[in-house]
Amino acid sequence: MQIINIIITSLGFSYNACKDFYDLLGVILSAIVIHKAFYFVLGMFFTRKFKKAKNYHKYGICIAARNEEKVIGNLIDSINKQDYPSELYTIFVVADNCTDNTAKIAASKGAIVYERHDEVHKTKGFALQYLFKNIEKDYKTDSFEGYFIFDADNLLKKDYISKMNDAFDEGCKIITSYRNTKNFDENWIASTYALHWIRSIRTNHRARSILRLATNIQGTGFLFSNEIVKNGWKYTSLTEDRALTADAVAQGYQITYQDEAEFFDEQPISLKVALRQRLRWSKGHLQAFAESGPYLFINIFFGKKFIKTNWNKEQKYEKRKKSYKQLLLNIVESIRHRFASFDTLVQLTPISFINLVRWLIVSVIIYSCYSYINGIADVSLFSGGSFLTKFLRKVFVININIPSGYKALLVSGLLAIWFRILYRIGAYFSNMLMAIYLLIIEEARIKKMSFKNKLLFIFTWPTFDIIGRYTTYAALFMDVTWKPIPHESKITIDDINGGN
Amino acid sequence: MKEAKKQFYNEGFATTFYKKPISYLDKKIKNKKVVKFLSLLIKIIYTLLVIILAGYILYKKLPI
Repeated sequence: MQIINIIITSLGFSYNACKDFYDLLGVILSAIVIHKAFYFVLGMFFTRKFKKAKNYHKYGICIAARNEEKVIGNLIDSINKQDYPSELYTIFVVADNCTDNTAKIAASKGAIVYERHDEVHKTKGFALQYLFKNIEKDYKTDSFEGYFIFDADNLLKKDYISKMNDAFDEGCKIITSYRNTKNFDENWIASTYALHWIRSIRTNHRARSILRLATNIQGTGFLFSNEIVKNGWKYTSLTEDRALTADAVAQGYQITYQDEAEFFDEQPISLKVALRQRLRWSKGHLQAFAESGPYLFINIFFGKKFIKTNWNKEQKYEKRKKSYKQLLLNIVESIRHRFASFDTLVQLTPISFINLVRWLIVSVIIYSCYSYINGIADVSLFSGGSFLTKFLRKVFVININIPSGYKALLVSGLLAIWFRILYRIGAYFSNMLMAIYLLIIEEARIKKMSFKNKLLFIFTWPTFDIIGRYTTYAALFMDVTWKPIPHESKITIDDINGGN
Repeated sequence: MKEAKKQFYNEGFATTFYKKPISYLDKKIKNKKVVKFLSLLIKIIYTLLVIILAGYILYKKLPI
Protein backbone atom coordinates (compact mmCIF):
# COMPACT_ATOMS: atom_id res chain seq x y z
CA MET A 1 0.00 0.00 0.00
CA GLN A 2 2.86 2.35 0.85
CA ILE A 3 4.52 1.66 -2.50
CA ILE A 4 1.31 2.53 -4.33
CA ASN A 5 1.11 5.71 -2.29
CA ILE A 6 4.66 6.66 -3.25
CA ILE A 7 4.00 6.00 -6.96
CA ILE A 8 0.77 8.03 -6.94
CA THR A 9 2.38 10.90 -5.06
CA SER A 10 5.43 11.09 -7.31
CA LEU A 11 3.23 10.96 -10.40
CA GLY A 12 1.05 13.67 -8.88
CA PHE A 13 4.05 15.91 -8.28
CA SER A 14 5.14 15.50 -11.88
CA TYR A 15 1.77 16.77 -13.15
CA ASN A 16 2.81 20.37 -13.83
CA ALA A 17 5.87 19.34 -15.83
CA CYS A 18 3.83 16.72 -17.71
CA LYS A 19 1.09 19.26 -18.38
CA ASP A 20 3.66 21.60 -19.95
CA PHE A 21 4.86 18.76 -22.16
CA TYR A 22 1.24 17.86 -22.97
CA ASP A 23 0.55 21.44 -24.05
CA LEU A 24 3.78 21.65 -26.05
CA LEU A 25 2.95 18.41 -27.88
CA GLY A 26 -0.52 19.82 -28.57
CA VAL A 27 1.02 22.96 -30.09
CA ILE A 28 3.38 20.85 -32.25
CA LEU A 29 0.56 18.58 -33.45
CA SER A 30 -1.56 21.62 -34.34
CA ALA A 31 1.37 23.36 -36.04
CA ILE A 32 2.16 20.42 -38.35
CA VAL A 33 -1.37 20.41 -39.74
CA ILE A 34 -1.82 24.18 -39.94
CA HIS A 35 -1.27 24.18 -43.73
CA LYS A 36 -4.53 22.22 -44.02
CA ALA A 37 -6.49 25.40 -43.30
CA PHE A 38 -4.78 27.03 -46.27
CA TYR A 39 -5.54 23.96 -48.42
CA PHE A 40 -9.16 24.18 -47.34
CA VAL A 41 -9.53 27.80 -48.44
CA LEU A 42 -7.64 27.26 -51.69
CA GLY A 43 -9.67 24.14 -52.52
CA MET A 44 -12.87 26.01 -51.81
CA PHE A 45 -12.40 28.21 -54.87
CA PHE A 46 -9.70 26.85 -57.14
CA THR A 47 -8.37 23.73 -58.78
CA ARG A 48 -5.74 23.01 -61.42
CA LYS A 49 -7.10 23.08 -64.97
CA PHE A 50 -5.52 21.49 -68.01
CA LYS A 51 -5.48 22.56 -71.65
CA LYS A 52 -6.96 20.34 -74.33
CA ALA A 53 -4.35 17.72 -75.21
CA LYS A 54 -2.47 17.98 -78.50
CA ASN A 55 -1.70 14.27 -78.58
CA TYR A 56 -3.65 11.14 -77.89
CA HIS A 57 -1.64 8.71 -75.77
CA LYS A 58 -1.88 4.96 -75.58
CA TYR A 59 -3.13 3.48 -72.33
CA GLY A 60 -3.64 0.17 -70.60
CA ILE A 61 -6.70 0.03 -68.36
CA CYS A 62 -6.18 -2.35 -65.45
CA ILE A 63 -9.02 -3.79 -63.41
CA ALA A 64 -8.55 -6.16 -60.49
CA ALA A 65 -11.76 -8.10 -59.91
CA ARG A 66 -12.78 -10.78 -57.46
CA ASN A 67 -16.25 -12.27 -58.00
CA GLU A 68 -17.56 -9.10 -59.59
CA GLU A 69 -19.92 -10.57 -62.19
CA LYS A 70 -22.70 -8.17 -61.16
CA VAL A 71 -20.74 -4.99 -61.86
CA ILE A 72 -17.78 -5.63 -64.17
CA GLY A 73 -19.89 -5.61 -67.34
CA ASN A 74 -21.20 -2.13 -66.53
CA LEU A 75 -17.68 -0.80 -66.02
CA ILE A 76 -16.42 -2.20 -69.33
CA ASP A 77 -19.53 -0.83 -71.07
CA SER A 78 -18.75 2.62 -69.66
CA ILE A 79 -15.16 2.31 -70.94
CA ASN A 80 -16.36 1.24 -74.37
CA LYS A 81 -18.58 4.33 -74.50
CA GLN A 82 -15.64 6.71 -74.02
CA ASP A 83 -15.15 9.52 -76.54
CA TYR A 84 -11.46 8.52 -76.76
CA PRO A 85 -10.17 6.55 -79.80
CA SER A 86 -10.78 2.91 -78.89
CA GLU A 87 -7.59 1.70 -80.63
CA LEU A 88 -5.59 3.70 -78.10
CA TYR A 89 -6.62 1.80 -75.02
CA THR A 90 -6.68 -1.84 -74.03
CA ILE A 91 -8.70 -3.20 -71.15
CA PHE A 92 -6.96 -5.74 -68.92
CA VAL A 93 -8.82 -7.63 -66.24
CA VAL A 94 -7.25 -9.84 -63.62
CA ALA A 95 -9.93 -12.25 -62.43
CA ASP A 96 -8.51 -12.84 -58.99
CA ASN A 97 -9.63 -16.07 -57.26
CA CYS A 98 -12.98 -15.82 -59.01
CA THR A 99 -15.58 -18.54 -58.59
CA ASP A 100 -18.25 -16.81 -60.67
CA ASN A 101 -18.55 -15.54 -64.26
CA THR A 102 -16.37 -12.42 -63.89
CA ALA A 103 -13.74 -13.63 -66.40
CA LYS A 104 -16.36 -14.78 -68.91
CA ILE A 105 -18.32 -11.51 -68.80
CA ALA A 106 -15.17 -9.36 -69.03
CA ALA A 107 -13.87 -11.36 -72.01
CA SER A 108 -17.24 -11.17 -73.76
CA LYS A 109 -17.13 -7.35 -73.47
CA GLY A 110 -13.70 -7.18 -75.12
CA ALA A 111 -11.31 -7.19 -72.18
CA ILE A 112 -8.09 -9.22 -72.07
CA VAL A 113 -8.51 -11.45 -69.06
CA TYR A 114 -5.89 -13.11 -66.91
CA GLU A 115 -7.14 -15.56 -64.31
CA ARG A 116 -5.27 -15.91 -61.06
CA HIS A 117 -5.77 -18.48 -58.31
CA ASP A 118 -3.78 -17.91 -55.16
CA GLU A 119 -5.47 -18.18 -51.79
CA VAL A 120 -2.31 -17.22 -49.89
CA HIS A 121 -1.48 -13.86 -51.46
CA LYS A 122 -4.87 -12.25 -51.43
CA THR A 123 -4.57 -8.46 -51.61
CA LYS A 124 -5.42 -6.34 -54.65
CA GLY A 125 -1.71 -5.49 -54.85
CA PHE A 126 -0.81 -9.13 -55.56
CA ALA A 127 -3.49 -9.26 -58.28
CA LEU A 128 -2.02 -6.15 -59.92
CA GLN A 129 1.48 -7.57 -59.61
CA TYR A 130 0.33 -10.68 -61.48
CA LEU A 131 -1.41 -8.56 -64.10
CA PHE A 132 1.64 -6.39 -64.84
CA LYS A 133 3.83 -9.49 -65.02
CA ASN A 134 1.52 -10.82 -67.73
CA ILE A 135 1.35 -7.50 -69.56
CA GLU A 136 5.13 -7.39 -69.62
CA LYS A 137 5.26 -10.97 -70.94
CA ASP A 138 2.58 -10.60 -73.64
CA TYR A 139 2.75 -6.93 -74.67
CA LYS A 140 5.75 -5.31 -72.93
CA THR A 141 4.91 -2.76 -70.27
CA ASP A 142 6.34 0.16 -72.22
CA SER A 143 4.05 -0.48 -75.20
CA PHE A 144 1.51 1.58 -73.26
CA GLU A 145 2.42 5.12 -72.22
CA GLY A 146 0.29 5.03 -69.12
CA TYR A 147 -1.92 2.77 -67.03
CA PHE A 148 -5.28 3.40 -65.43
CA ILE A 149 -6.28 1.48 -62.31
CA PHE A 150 -9.95 0.86 -61.60
CA ASP A 151 -12.04 -1.28 -59.28
CA ALA A 152 -14.68 -3.44 -60.94
CA ASP A 153 -17.53 -1.46 -59.38
CA ASN A 154 -16.50 1.82 -61.04
CA LEU A 155 -18.29 3.62 -63.86
CA LEU A 156 -16.63 6.25 -66.04
CA LYS A 157 -18.13 9.41 -67.47
CA LYS A 158 -17.99 9.56 -71.24
CA ASP A 159 -15.06 12.01 -71.36
CA TYR A 160 -13.08 10.46 -68.50
CA ILE A 161 -10.11 9.18 -70.53
CA SER A 162 -9.99 12.33 -72.68
CA LYS A 163 -9.83 14.54 -69.60
CA MET A 164 -7.14 12.39 -68.00
CA ASN A 165 -5.26 12.48 -71.29
CA ASP A 166 -5.30 16.31 -71.10
CA ALA A 167 -3.39 16.13 -67.81
CA PHE A 168 -1.08 13.36 -69.04
CA ASP A 169 -0.28 15.32 -72.18
CA GLU A 170 0.88 18.25 -70.03
CA GLY A 171 3.55 15.98 -68.58
CA CYS A 172 1.85 14.85 -65.38
CA LYS A 173 3.05 11.38 -64.41
CA ILE A 174 0.52 10.41 -61.75
CA ILE A 175 -3.00 11.76 -61.88
CA THR A 176 -6.05 11.13 -59.71
CA SER A 177 -9.60 12.09 -60.58
CA TYR A 178 -12.97 13.13 -59.20
CA ARG A 179 -14.49 10.25 -57.25
CA ASN A 180 -18.25 10.45 -57.18
CA THR A 181 -20.65 7.86 -55.76
CA LYS A 182 -23.13 5.62 -57.54
CA ASN A 183 -25.26 4.93 -54.48
CA PHE A 184 -24.94 8.18 -52.51
CA ASP A 185 -28.48 8.06 -51.14
CA GLU A 186 -28.80 4.30 -50.73
CA ASN A 187 -28.31 4.59 -46.97
CA TRP A 188 -26.42 6.62 -44.38
CA ILE A 189 -23.31 4.42 -44.49
CA ALA A 190 -22.87 4.92 -48.23
CA SER A 191 -23.45 8.66 -47.78
CA THR A 192 -20.65 8.98 -45.20
CA TYR A 193 -18.21 7.41 -47.67
CA ALA A 194 -19.49 9.58 -50.51
CA LEU A 195 -18.97 12.73 -48.44
CA HIS A 196 -15.55 11.53 -47.36
CA TRP A 197 -14.32 11.25 -50.97
CA ILE A 198 -15.62 14.72 -51.74
CA ARG A 199 -14.01 16.08 -48.59
CA SER A 200 -10.67 14.64 -49.72
CA ILE A 201 -11.08 16.44 -53.02
CA ARG A 202 -12.01 19.76 -51.48
CA THR A 203 -9.53 19.71 -48.60
CA ASN A 204 -6.55 18.00 -50.24
CA HIS A 205 -6.54 17.19 -53.95
CA ARG A 206 -7.53 20.57 -55.36
CA ALA A 207 -5.06 22.65 -53.34
CA ARG A 208 -2.20 20.22 -53.75
CA SER A 209 -2.67 20.11 -57.51
CA ILE A 210 -2.54 23.90 -57.76
CA LEU A 211 0.60 24.01 -55.62
CA ARG A 212 2.21 21.24 -57.72
CA LEU A 213 2.55 19.06 -54.65
CA ALA A 214 1.57 15.42 -54.35
CA THR A 215 -1.91 14.45 -53.37
CA ASN A 216 -2.76 10.98 -52.17
CA ILE A 217 -3.84 8.20 -54.51
CA GLN A 218 -7.04 6.61 -53.27
CA GLY A 219 -7.23 3.01 -54.46
CA THR A 220 -8.95 3.53 -57.78
CA GLY A 221 -9.50 6.06 -60.56
CA PHE A 222 -5.92 7.05 -61.22
CA LEU A 223 -3.47 7.09 -64.09
CA PHE A 224 0.29 6.72 -63.98
CA SER A 225 3.14 6.72 -66.44
CA ASN A 226 4.62 3.39 -67.58
CA GLU A 227 8.00 4.13 -65.94
CA ILE A 228 6.41 3.39 -62.57
CA VAL A 229 5.79 -0.27 -63.48
CA LYS A 230 8.90 -0.68 -65.61
CA ASN A 231 10.13 -3.27 -63.13
CA GLY A 232 6.70 -4.57 -62.21
CA TRP A 233 4.14 -3.65 -59.58
CA LYS A 234 5.70 -3.67 -56.10
CA TYR A 235 2.86 -2.61 -53.82
CA THR A 236 1.17 -5.60 -52.23
CA SER A 237 0.29 -4.35 -48.73
CA LEU A 238 -3.27 -3.98 -47.42
CA THR A 239 -3.41 -0.45 -48.82
CA GLU A 240 -1.26 -0.47 -51.94
CA ASP A 241 -2.40 3.07 -52.79
CA ARG A 242 -0.74 4.60 -49.74
CA ALA A 243 2.51 2.72 -50.34
CA LEU A 244 2.56 3.90 -53.96
CA THR A 245 1.84 7.49 -52.87
CA ALA A 246 4.67 7.46 -50.34
CA ASP A 247 7.10 5.98 -52.85
CA ALA A 248 6.14 8.51 -55.52
CA VAL A 249 6.50 11.44 -53.13
CA ALA A 250 9.87 10.20 -51.87
CA GLN A 251 11.18 10.17 -55.44
CA GLY A 252 9.97 13.68 -56.10
CA TYR A 253 6.98 12.90 -58.30
CA GLN A 254 4.03 15.25 -58.34
CA ILE A 255 0.67 13.55 -57.90
CA THR A 256 -1.83 15.80 -59.51
CA TYR A 257 -5.61 15.89 -59.66
CA GLN A 258 -7.85 16.35 -62.68
CA ASP A 259 -11.16 17.77 -61.47
CA GLU A 260 -12.88 17.36 -64.82
CA ALA A 261 -12.35 13.59 -65.04
CA GLU A 262 -15.18 12.04 -63.10
CA PHE A 263 -15.91 8.43 -62.20
CA PHE A 264 -18.43 6.75 -59.95
CA ASP A 265 -17.78 4.22 -57.27
CA GLU A 266 -20.03 1.95 -55.21
CA GLN A 267 -19.87 2.43 -51.46
CA PRO A 268 -20.61 -0.15 -48.76
CA ILE A 269 -24.12 -0.13 -47.32
CA SER A 270 -23.59 -2.61 -44.50
CA LEU A 271 -22.02 -1.51 -41.23
CA LYS A 272 -20.23 -4.85 -40.91
CA VAL A 273 -18.58 -4.46 -44.33
CA ALA A 274 -17.79 -0.80 -43.64
CA LEU A 275 -16.11 -1.65 -40.33
CA ARG A 276 -14.10 -4.42 -41.99
CA GLN A 277 -12.97 -2.06 -44.74
CA ARG A 278 -12.10 0.75 -42.34
CA LEU A 279 -10.10 -1.65 -40.19
CA ARG A 280 -8.14 -2.68 -43.26
CA TRP A 281 -7.54 0.95 -44.23
CA SER A 282 -6.37 1.76 -40.72
CA LYS A 283 -4.00 -1.20 -40.64
CA GLY A 284 -2.67 -0.35 -44.09
CA HIS A 285 -2.30 3.26 -43.04
CA LEU A 286 -0.19 2.24 -40.04
CA GLN A 287 1.86 -0.14 -42.18
CA ALA A 288 2.53 2.63 -44.70
CA PHE A 289 3.52 4.95 -41.84
CA ALA A 290 5.94 2.35 -40.49
CA GLU A 291 7.38 1.47 -43.92
CA SER A 292 7.55 4.87 -45.58
CA GLY A 293 7.47 7.27 -42.64
CA PRO A 294 11.23 7.13 -41.92
CA TYR A 295 12.09 7.71 -45.62
CA LEU A 296 9.71 10.63 -45.86
CA PHE A 297 11.14 12.08 -42.65
CA ILE A 298 14.69 11.80 -44.02
CA ASN A 299 13.54 13.37 -47.29
CA ILE A 300 12.39 16.49 -45.47
CA PHE A 301 15.97 17.16 -44.39
CA PHE A 302 18.10 15.50 -47.06
CA GLY A 303 16.01 15.81 -50.22
CA LYS A 304 16.34 12.90 -52.62
CA LYS A 305 19.65 11.61 -51.26
CA PHE A 306 18.28 8.55 -49.48
CA ILE A 307 15.36 7.26 -51.50
CA LYS A 308 14.18 3.68 -51.14
CA THR A 309 13.34 2.98 -54.79
CA ASN A 310 14.08 4.89 -57.96
CA TRP A 311 11.82 4.40 -60.97
CA ASN A 312 14.08 6.57 -63.08
CA LYS A 313 17.52 5.27 -62.18
CA GLU A 314 18.31 4.13 -65.74
CA GLN A 315 17.23 7.40 -67.26
CA LYS A 316 20.11 9.64 -68.27
CA TYR A 317 19.51 13.24 -67.50
CA GLU A 318 20.63 15.90 -69.92
CA LYS A 319 23.35 18.12 -68.65
CA ARG A 320 21.75 21.43 -67.97
CA LYS A 321 23.47 24.76 -68.30
CA LYS A 322 24.44 26.28 -65.01
CA SER A 323 22.50 29.49 -64.77
CA TYR A 324 20.89 31.52 -62.03
CA LYS A 325 17.49 30.61 -63.41
CA GLN A 326 18.32 26.90 -63.22
CA LEU A 327 19.71 27.31 -59.73
CA LEU A 328 16.52 29.04 -58.65
CA LEU A 329 14.40 26.31 -60.23
CA ASN A 330 16.43 23.67 -58.40
CA ILE A 331 15.87 25.44 -55.10
CA VAL A 332 12.13 25.72 -55.74
CA GLU A 333 11.97 22.01 -56.68
CA SER A 334 13.90 21.06 -53.56
CA ILE A 335 11.49 23.02 -51.35
CA ARG A 336 8.51 21.53 -53.17
CA HIS A 337 9.80 18.00 -52.76
CA ARG A 338 10.61 18.46 -49.07
CA PHE A 339 7.23 20.01 -48.35
CA ALA A 340 5.42 17.23 -50.25
CA SER A 341 7.35 14.68 -48.16
CA PHE A 342 6.37 16.51 -44.99
CA ASP A 343 2.73 16.75 -46.11
CA THR A 344 2.54 13.03 -46.92
CA LEU A 345 4.25 12.11 -43.65
CA VAL A 346 1.73 14.19 -41.72
CA GLN A 347 -1.10 12.48 -43.59
CA LEU A 348 0.28 9.05 -42.67
CA THR A 349 0.99 9.92 -39.03
CA PRO A 350 -1.66 8.44 -36.70
CA ILE A 351 -2.25 11.77 -34.95
CA SER A 352 -5.47 10.54 -33.32
CA PHE A 353 -3.54 7.75 -31.62
CA ILE A 354 -0.82 10.12 -30.38
CA ASN A 355 -3.57 12.36 -28.99
CA LEU A 356 -5.22 9.41 -27.26
CA VAL A 357 -1.97 8.34 -25.62
CA ARG A 358 -1.09 11.82 -24.37
CA TRP A 359 -4.63 12.28 -23.05
CA LEU A 360 -4.63 8.90 -21.32
CA ILE A 361 -1.26 9.43 -19.67
CA VAL A 362 -1.50 13.10 -18.67
CA SER A 363 -5.19 13.96 -18.41
CA VAL A 364 -6.38 10.70 -16.90
CA ILE A 365 -3.55 9.00 -15.02
CA ILE A 366 -1.25 11.82 -13.90
CA TYR A 367 -4.08 14.30 -13.31
CA SER A 368 -5.83 11.73 -11.07
CA CYS A 369 -2.63 11.37 -9.07
CA TYR A 370 -2.39 15.16 -8.84
CA SER A 371 -5.96 15.28 -7.52
CA TYR A 372 -5.07 12.59 -4.98
CA ILE A 373 -2.56 15.04 -3.50
CA ASN A 374 -4.39 18.33 -3.99
CA GLY A 375 -8.06 17.34 -4.18
CA ILE A 376 -10.55 18.75 -6.66
CA ALA A 377 -11.36 22.40 -6.19
CA ASP A 378 -14.20 24.17 -8.01
CA VAL A 379 -14.01 22.15 -11.22
CA SER A 380 -17.05 22.68 -13.43
CA LEU A 381 -18.85 19.52 -14.54
CA PHE A 382 -18.92 21.06 -18.00
CA SER A 383 -15.28 22.07 -18.43
CA GLY A 384 -13.93 22.35 -21.96
CA GLY A 385 -13.60 24.69 -24.89
CA SER A 386 -16.32 23.40 -27.24
CA PHE A 387 -19.51 25.30 -28.02
CA LEU A 388 -21.48 22.61 -26.23
CA THR A 389 -19.55 22.88 -22.95
CA LYS A 390 -19.64 26.70 -23.08
CA PHE A 391 -23.41 26.53 -23.51
CA LEU A 392 -23.86 23.97 -20.73
CA ARG A 393 -21.73 26.06 -18.35
CA LYS A 394 -24.01 29.02 -18.94
CA VAL A 395 -27.16 26.99 -18.26
CA PHE A 396 -25.95 24.78 -15.39
CA VAL A 397 -23.51 25.84 -12.69
CA ILE A 398 -22.30 22.59 -11.16
CA ASN A 399 -18.88 22.71 -9.53
CA ILE A 400 -17.15 19.78 -7.93
CA ASN A 401 -15.13 19.99 -4.73
CA ILE A 402 -13.52 16.90 -3.24
CA PRO A 403 -10.75 16.82 -0.62
CA SER A 404 -7.51 15.00 -1.37
CA GLY A 405 -7.46 11.22 -1.17
CA TYR A 406 -8.56 8.15 -3.09
CA LYS A 407 -12.03 9.58 -3.72
CA ALA A 408 -10.48 12.56 -5.51
CA LEU A 409 -8.26 10.20 -7.51
CA LEU A 410 -11.23 8.15 -8.69
CA VAL A 411 -13.52 11.12 -9.41
CA SER A 412 -10.86 13.05 -11.36
CA GLY A 413 -10.24 9.98 -13.55
CA LEU A 414 -13.97 9.72 -14.25
CA LEU A 415 -14.16 13.49 -14.84
CA ALA A 416 -11.38 13.29 -17.44
CA ILE A 417 -13.33 10.64 -19.33
CA TRP A 418 -16.55 12.68 -19.00
CA PHE A 419 -14.82 15.81 -20.37
CA ARG A 420 -13.56 13.76 -23.31
CA ILE A 421 -17.08 12.52 -24.06
CA LEU A 422 -18.43 16.07 -23.85
CA TYR A 423 -15.67 17.29 -26.19
CA ARG A 424 -16.45 14.53 -28.67
CA ILE A 425 -20.19 15.30 -28.59
CA GLY A 426 -19.37 18.96 -29.29
CA ALA A 427 -17.02 17.97 -32.09
CA TYR A 428 -19.75 15.71 -33.54
CA PHE A 429 -22.07 18.69 -33.99
CA SER A 430 -19.41 21.03 -35.35
CA ASN A 431 -18.32 18.31 -37.81
CA MET A 432 -21.82 18.43 -39.32
CA LEU A 433 -20.86 21.82 -40.77
CA MET A 434 -18.45 20.01 -43.09
CA ALA A 435 -21.31 17.93 -44.54
CA ILE A 436 -23.43 21.09 -45.04
CA TYR A 437 -20.48 22.77 -46.75
CA LEU A 438 -19.88 19.79 -49.06
CA LEU A 439 -23.54 19.40 -49.97
CA ILE A 440 -23.72 23.09 -50.95
CA ILE A 441 -20.43 23.44 -52.74
CA GLU A 442 -20.73 20.18 -54.71
CA GLU A 443 -24.44 20.53 -55.39
CA ALA A 444 -23.93 20.45 -59.15
CA ARG A 445 -22.18 17.06 -59.06
CA ILE A 446 -23.83 15.28 -56.17
CA LYS A 447 -26.76 13.04 -56.99
CA LYS A 448 -30.11 14.81 -56.55
CA MET A 449 -31.82 13.70 -53.35
CA SER A 450 -34.61 14.70 -51.00
CA PHE A 451 -34.13 17.34 -48.28
CA LYS A 452 -34.99 14.70 -45.67
CA ASN A 453 -32.13 12.52 -46.90
CA LYS A 454 -29.76 15.47 -46.87
CA LEU A 455 -30.67 16.20 -43.24
CA LEU A 456 -30.14 12.56 -42.30
CA PHE A 457 -26.77 12.43 -44.05
CA ILE A 458 -25.62 15.67 -42.38
CA PHE A 459 -26.51 14.17 -39.02
CA THR A 460 -24.79 10.82 -39.66
CA TRP A 461 -21.69 12.17 -41.44
CA PRO A 462 -19.50 12.66 -38.31
CA THR A 463 -19.69 8.90 -37.62
CA PHE A 464 -17.21 8.41 -40.47
CA ASP A 465 -14.35 9.99 -38.54
CA ILE A 466 -15.44 8.36 -35.29
CA ILE A 467 -15.27 4.93 -36.92
CA GLY A 468 -11.88 5.85 -38.40
CA ARG A 469 -10.55 6.85 -34.99
CA TYR A 470 -11.57 3.61 -33.29
CA THR A 471 -10.49 1.36 -36.15
CA THR A 472 -7.05 3.00 -35.93
CA TYR A 473 -6.84 2.11 -32.24
CA ALA A 474 -8.06 -1.43 -32.96
CA ALA A 475 -5.73 -1.88 -35.95
CA LEU A 476 -2.72 -1.40 -33.68
CA PHE A 477 -3.53 -4.59 -31.83
CA MET A 478 -5.39 -6.67 -34.40
CA ASP A 479 -4.17 -8.93 -37.14
CA VAL A 480 -6.06 -7.72 -40.22
CA THR A 481 -6.40 -9.79 -43.38
CA TRP A 482 -7.72 -8.74 -46.76
CA LYS A 483 -11.33 -9.70 -47.46
CA PRO A 484 -13.30 -8.78 -50.57
CA ILE A 485 -15.94 -6.03 -50.44
CA PRO A 486 -19.15 -7.20 -52.13
CA HIS A 487 -20.52 -5.03 -54.97
CA GLU A 488 -24.09 -5.53 -56.06
CA SER A 489 -25.24 -2.25 -57.60
CA LYS A 490 -26.92 -2.62 -60.98
CA ILE A 491 -26.59 1.10 -61.77
CA THR A 492 -25.11 1.79 -65.20
CA ILE A 493 -23.48 4.92 -66.58
CA ASP A 494 -26.67 5.57 -68.59
CA ASP A 495 -28.70 5.55 -65.36
CA ILE A 496 -26.33 8.15 -63.87
CA ASN A 497 -26.36 10.34 -66.97
CA GLY A 498 -30.14 10.16 -67.06
CA GLY A 499 -30.51 10.83 -63.34
CA ASN A 500 -28.29 13.91 -63.04
CA MET B 1 -5.24 34.89 -63.06
CA LYS B 2 -7.94 34.89 -65.70
CA GLU B 3 -8.57 31.19 -65.06
CA ALA B 4 -8.67 31.77 -61.29
CA LYS B 5 -11.22 34.56 -61.73
CA LYS B 6 -13.27 32.32 -63.98
CA GLN B 7 -13.29 29.56 -61.39
CA PHE B 8 -14.07 31.99 -58.56
CA TYR B 9 -17.26 33.24 -60.22
CA ASN B 10 -18.40 30.04 -61.92
CA GLU B 11 -17.79 27.04 -59.69
CA GLY B 12 -18.53 25.79 -56.18
CA PHE B 13 -20.18 28.42 -53.97
CA ALA B 14 -20.60 30.71 -56.97
CA THR B 15 -23.09 28.25 -58.48
CA THR B 16 -25.46 28.65 -55.54
CA PHE B 17 -24.75 32.14 -54.25
CA TYR B 18 -23.78 34.07 -57.36
CA LYS B 19 -24.95 32.44 -60.58
CA LYS B 20 -28.33 31.24 -59.33
CA PRO B 21 -29.50 34.65 -57.97
CA ILE B 22 -28.35 36.36 -61.16
CA SER B 23 -30.16 33.92 -63.42
CA TYR B 24 -33.25 34.32 -61.20
CA LEU B 25 -33.11 38.10 -61.56
CA ASP B 26 -32.55 37.75 -65.27
CA LYS B 27 -35.77 35.79 -65.57
CA LYS B 28 -37.89 37.97 -63.27
CA ILE B 29 -36.81 41.50 -64.17
CA LYS B 30 -37.17 42.78 -67.69
CA ASN B 31 -35.33 46.08 -67.29
CA LYS B 32 -31.75 45.25 -68.38
CA LYS B 33 -30.22 48.22 -66.56
CA VAL B 34 -31.74 47.14 -63.24
CA VAL B 35 -30.57 43.58 -63.82
CA LYS B 36 -27.07 44.81 -64.58
CA PHE B 37 -27.00 46.95 -61.44
CA LEU B 38 -28.35 44.17 -59.22
CA SER B 39 -25.93 41.69 -60.76
CA LEU B 40 -23.04 43.97 -59.91
CA LEU B 41 -24.40 44.33 -56.38
CA ILE B 42 -24.65 40.56 -55.99
CA LYS B 43 -21.12 40.20 -57.34
CA ILE B 44 -19.78 42.66 -54.77
CA ILE B 45 -21.72 41.04 -51.90
CA TYR B 46 -20.66 37.53 -52.96
CA THR B 47 -17.01 38.57 -53.27
CA LEU B 48 -16.99 40.26 -49.87
CA LEU B 49 -18.77 37.39 -48.14
CA VAL B 50 -16.48 34.68 -49.44
CA ILE B 51 -13.39 36.75 -48.59
CA ILE B 52 -14.73 37.16 -45.04
CA LEU B 53 -15.49 33.44 -44.90
CA ALA B 54 -11.99 32.56 -46.13
CA GLY B 55 -10.47 34.93 -43.58
CA TYR B 56 -12.55 33.40 -40.79
CA ILE B 57 -11.49 29.87 -41.79
CA LEU B 58 -7.83 30.84 -41.79
CA TYR B 59 -8.18 32.71 -38.50
CA LYS B 60 -9.93 29.79 -36.81
CA LYS B 61 -7.63 27.29 -38.54
CA LEU B 62 -10.62 25.27 -39.76
CA PRO B 63 -11.21 22.39 -40.35
CA ILE B 64 -8.30 21.26 -38.13
